[in-house]
Amino acid sequence: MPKPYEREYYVPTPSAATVFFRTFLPWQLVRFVWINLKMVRMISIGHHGRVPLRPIVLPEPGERGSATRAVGR
Amino acid sequence: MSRVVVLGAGIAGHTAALLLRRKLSSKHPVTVVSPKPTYNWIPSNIWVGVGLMKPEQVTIELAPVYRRHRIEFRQARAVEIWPEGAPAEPAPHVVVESTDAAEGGRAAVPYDYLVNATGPRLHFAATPGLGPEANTASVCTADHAAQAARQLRAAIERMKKGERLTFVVGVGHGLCTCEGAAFEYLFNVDFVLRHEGVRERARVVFLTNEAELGDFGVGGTHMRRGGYRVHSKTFAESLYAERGIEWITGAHVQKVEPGVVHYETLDGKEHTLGFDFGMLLPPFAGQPMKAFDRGGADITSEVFAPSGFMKVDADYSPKPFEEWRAADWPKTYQTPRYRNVFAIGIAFAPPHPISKPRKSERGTPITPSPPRTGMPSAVMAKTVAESLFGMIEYGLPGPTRTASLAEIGASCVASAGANWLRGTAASMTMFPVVPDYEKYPEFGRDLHFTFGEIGSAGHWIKTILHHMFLYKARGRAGWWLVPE
Repeated sequence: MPKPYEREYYVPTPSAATVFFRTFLPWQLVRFVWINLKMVRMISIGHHGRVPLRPIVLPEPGERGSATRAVGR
Repeated sequence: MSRVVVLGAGIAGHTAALLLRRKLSSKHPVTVVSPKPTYNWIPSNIWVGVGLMKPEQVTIELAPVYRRHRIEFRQARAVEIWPEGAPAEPAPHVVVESTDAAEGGRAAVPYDYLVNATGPRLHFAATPGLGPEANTASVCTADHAAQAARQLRAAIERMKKGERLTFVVGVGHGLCTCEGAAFEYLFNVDFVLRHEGVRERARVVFLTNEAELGDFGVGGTHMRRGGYRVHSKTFAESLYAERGIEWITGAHVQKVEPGVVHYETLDGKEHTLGFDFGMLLPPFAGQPMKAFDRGGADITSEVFAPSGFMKVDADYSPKPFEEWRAADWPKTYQTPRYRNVFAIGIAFAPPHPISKPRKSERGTPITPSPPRTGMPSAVMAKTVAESLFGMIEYGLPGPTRTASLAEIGASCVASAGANWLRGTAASMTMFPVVPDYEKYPEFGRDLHFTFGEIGSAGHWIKTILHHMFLYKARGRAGWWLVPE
C-alpha cells in the first residue's frame, strides 16, 4: 500500500472488479476473440502499410522486359 | 542461377531463408550461415528464465529443417564481406569461420544476393561487471535464461528459510533496448515469487533507461481507455504500483560489483543499489564483421554504422529530434552502395532512436535504442524475400516491396505470469511502430489500431503464439500460412 504523498500514491490502480475480470474465464474468452480480431485487422494493414503500394508489373519468367503479369496489392 | 546467402538464423534470417526457398525455383541455391546449430524462439526465453520451460522447449535443430527444405546450412560465423570480390575469389563473397568443431577453418562463401540478418552482439563488456559470466543474469539466450532460472530458484530457497532479498531487473546500460523483455521477466519473477509464497520477503526493483515507464524504446504510445486517450506510462505505472514493484527510470548502469549496481540518473546523480538477484539486459551492437573492396581496402565504415549495424536505405544524416521524420526510416532494407546486399532484423542500422534522446546532467546519453522485435523482423524478412523473388526470377532492377517501421504496425504480447487460469499478459498493438507526426499529428499513431489490455486472454495468445511460431520455424506442412 503506498503511503500518502509517495510517488505510487498518485498512480491509478485497478478496482477489485477490474482485477477480477482479468482472470474471469467467460469474460476472458470474449476478450480472447476480440483481441485476436483486432490483431488480425492490424496485421492485415500493417504488413502492407496503410498507403497502397503501387502495383508491380512483372514479366513472365523468360520474357524479361515484357510486362505481362500484374503482381501487387 | 543466382545464389542467395543468408547470414543468421534468428527470426529474420530463418524466416527469409524459408520464404526464399519456397518462392525461388530450385535452380537458385539458398545458403544459411549461422554460428549456432539451433534456432531460438527468443520471446519464450523469459519462461525459461523463471524455470517454467527447458531450453530445449524454445530451441530447434536447424540442420534437419534445412535438409528437408533443400537449404544449404553452414555452421559458421561471418567475419568478412567482399561485396566486389577479391583477386583470389572474383565473385562477391563472405568469409566465414566454422564454429562446427568437426570442421573448423575459414572459407569463402560466394553469393549473388546477400541477406544480412546476423542479429545483435550481446555487448556485456560495455558495462563492467555485467552479464552471466560476471555479476548479473541474462535471458538473451536460452542458456543464459536457464542459468537465470537456477539463480532465481536458489534465491527462492533462501527466502523460504526466512531471508529477505532484493531483486533488481531491468537494463544494464543507458543505451539498451528490449525494455519490453525486461518488463516481461520482471512480472514473471513477481508471479513466481507470489506462487512460491515468498513475495512479502522480496523487494523487487525495476531499473530502466526509459525516461518514463511504458516508453519501451518507442516513446510509449497513447491508447483509448475509459473515455480518455491515455499514455502507456499510466498503464505501466499502474501495473507496478499494483504489484508493489519499485521503479527507477532514466538510469545508466555504470558498473556492477557482486551484489551492488552503480548507476547514474538523468539528473546527473550517482547511486548504488544492493541486490541478491539481478537480471540486467546488455546493450546490443552489430556483429564484428569487416568489409573490403576488390583491392582489399577496408570499407567497413562505409558499409556499417559505428554501432556495427549495416547501413541500408535510411537517412543517416545527423539531425535534431525536432527534425526526425517517418521518411528517415528504411523501406526496402537494400544497402545503398551494393544493390544485391540487404540487412534485416536487428542487423540493419536505425537512422536514429525512436524515443526522444536524453543526456544526463553529466552528459551521459540515457536513451532506449529502437527495439526490433520479432514481428517487425519477420515482416522485414518477408518483404526482402519477395523483393529478391522479383529481382531473381523476373530480372527486376530493384526491390519491389517495402516495410518501413513508420508504415507497419506491431503486436506484442508481454507475459505477466504463466498460468492458464491465473496467469495474465498485456496484449498490445501499435500502428505504426515509429510515430508519424505528419500523418497522425496528435499522437503520431493511429489510435484505431493502437490498444492494450491485460488479462488471461493475453497469456493464452502468447502460449498459442509460442507453439505456432515454433511449428512455423520447423517448416512443417502449411508453415507459410502462419502470418509473420
